[in-house]
Amino acid sequence: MSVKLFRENLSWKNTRFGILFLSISSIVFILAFMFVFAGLSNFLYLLRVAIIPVVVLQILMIVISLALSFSLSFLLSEWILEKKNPFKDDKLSVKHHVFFSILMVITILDVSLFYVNIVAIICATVIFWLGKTRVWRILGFLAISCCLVTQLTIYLLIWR
Amino acid sequence: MNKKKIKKILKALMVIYTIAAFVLWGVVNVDLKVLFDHSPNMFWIHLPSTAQVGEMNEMVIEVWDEFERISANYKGQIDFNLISYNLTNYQIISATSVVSNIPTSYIFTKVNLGIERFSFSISTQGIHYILATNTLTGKTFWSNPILVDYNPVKLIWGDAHSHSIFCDGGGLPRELYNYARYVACLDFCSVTSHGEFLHLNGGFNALEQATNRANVPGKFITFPGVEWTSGTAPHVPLIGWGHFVCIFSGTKLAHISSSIQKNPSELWAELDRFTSEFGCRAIALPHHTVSKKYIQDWPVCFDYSQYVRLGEVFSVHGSSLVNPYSAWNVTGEIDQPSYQISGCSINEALMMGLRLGLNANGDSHDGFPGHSLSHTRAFIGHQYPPTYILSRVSHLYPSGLTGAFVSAITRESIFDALYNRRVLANSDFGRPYVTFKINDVEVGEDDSTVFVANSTSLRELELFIAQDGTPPAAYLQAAQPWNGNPIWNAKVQIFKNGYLWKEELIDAPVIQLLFYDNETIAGASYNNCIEKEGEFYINEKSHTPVNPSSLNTNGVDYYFIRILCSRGRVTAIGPLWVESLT
Repeated sequence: MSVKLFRENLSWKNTRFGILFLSISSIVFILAFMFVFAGLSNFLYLLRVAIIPVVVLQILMIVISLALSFSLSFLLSEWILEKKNPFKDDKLSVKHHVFFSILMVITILDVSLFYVNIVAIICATVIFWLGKTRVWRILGFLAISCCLVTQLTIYLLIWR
Repeated sequence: MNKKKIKKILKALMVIYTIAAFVLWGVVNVDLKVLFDHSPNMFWIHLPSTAQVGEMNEMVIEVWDEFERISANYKGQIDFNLISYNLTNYQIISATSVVSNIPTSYIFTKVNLGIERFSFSISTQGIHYILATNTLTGKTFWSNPILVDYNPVKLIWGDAHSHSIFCDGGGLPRELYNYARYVACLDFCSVTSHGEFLHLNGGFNALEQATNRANVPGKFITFPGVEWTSGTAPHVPLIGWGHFVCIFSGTKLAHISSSIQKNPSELWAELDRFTSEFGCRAIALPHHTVSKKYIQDWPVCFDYSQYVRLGEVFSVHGSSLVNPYSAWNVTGEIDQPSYQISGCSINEALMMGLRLGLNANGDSHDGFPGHSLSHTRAFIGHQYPPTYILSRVSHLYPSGLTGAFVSAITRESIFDALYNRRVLANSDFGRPYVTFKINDVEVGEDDSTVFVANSTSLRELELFIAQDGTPPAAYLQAAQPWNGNPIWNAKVQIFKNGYLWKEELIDAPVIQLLFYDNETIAGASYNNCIEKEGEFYINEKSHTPVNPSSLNTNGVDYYFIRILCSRGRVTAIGPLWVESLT
């Protein structure tokens, strides 16, 4: 049974999917980790505590990056190999919700960064345009508003 | 209005809203002139500051655009010339009497990519400047001075304080070291990321490895370094005692962060443990001490003179040498307090009795140690290397450099010079040659202390200055070519016991000044303590109680020099302490 299952699972299609999934997710993980670390470091200026939860923060960075890399990689692998547009259907699956949730987190974390906050604007745009449900549309609108307000604040208060 | 029309209008609004976010980002983050204009503006000619008679050395010529970046677009012929000054009367030596081997001319093409290195030697003792004339525009550019003599002591230049993308700066440490060595032409450098970030991203070992890999004895020295950032780093308690850059003489980097060592006592204890375990020395460098957010709590340094040896007087933050509200403030500092806070400047720390040499570093966050660009429009985000925190936006001053008098280009010798305060500080990439002696004792010699027979003994202050001929950079001002020859007008100021004592105007590139003092040696004291809840503090920001009667130099006078050159370049050297034997 196990041999049969192994053989069935080891189809060329599954192997291709697995390789693509792992390649995309590892690239996305590294990039996501950098942006999450950057955003979190910036955000941590607000959090002043006597005992520093460094390990908790590190776990948080890894979890957020993994969630983004797995969900995005799954959507992209399906799109590339199965020609299935992940945002064509009106209904959103769990992986879509995970994906949008993490994009929202990254938007909030990265919005006040220097220059690379373009990532936050891109994330907000994706939520705004591809979030099919009313809730995601509203959250997308709020995310873009957040980007606009932060850019304006930077421009008016800090820029030279 | 029907449903379809409303939907169309909503979609159009969505498009406009999204585009607005990107456009606003572009307005803040893109500067088209910086992006596309690399046209050549000036030459920067770099020579070593010292050479032995007849010794082969390397001259570097860089073509800079108006943002001080290397311009790879320059094509044209450069003619070289030498101007030399005598070491006895400081007058020009006629060209026919100077024996030298410098190139006569060179044709720059696009292959040079805006930078070229030449070998040269000079066999006549003196102070020399190499001049390069752009034959297309007729403009002539001067180098920094080079002292040619038989003295084995070298004056070398470095930047012991810079930040990479491991924290809130830009670029990988190896990129920073490459830039420092090959573009900024430094002899030593330390990439000193904030420990609080390294603690979070586990970057200590990577930084240590990159630092040790870049170290090439005899050519380019690197020091493992890290910054302890109390009060103003991410995820640390708000209480602030100031920031300390810690650099180490060995190959190991201590895991220092204000989220590990939560107060100065723990920092000193860790430095004690680390230096004893690894058999190395450490210097803890207070910096940007007069900025509102980082006011230095000097009393935490009082018993740790084995670590607190130098004060960083210039950096991209401006100058901490004198209080920004004192009559002698010329440079200013970014984010200075809106009212006077006494006891935060390095000058006031000296009055309290601390023994700090004056050095200058970059504290650059744009990935360019030794020659930061954040005071120009090239601070903009799309400039490589990327940074992800806004730090470099507020850095409106050029980065400073430390000149160190050393016997060899090794870790030990350079660290020794820093430790013994055999240094001078310059506010930009310039490299003037300056020495300061009292009764023949030089800065850094004999613990920078001059002993005299009694309190009214005559003290002879001797200052030798060879100004840098390269155009300076200053607050929000990129270097621009001189209109003709360099302007040599400068003001030399001597500070004694915390106050301006003498001032003299000069107008020559090479000059020796002598001053005499036989006033009674009385020492200096800091008298602006405040009382809070029954205890005394140096100012309202301080967290460390003090005994006001102990804040003095113990009857010892001190002198330091500040030279205010044209267009905003500032050089400082000292202090020298003068102690009476009776």
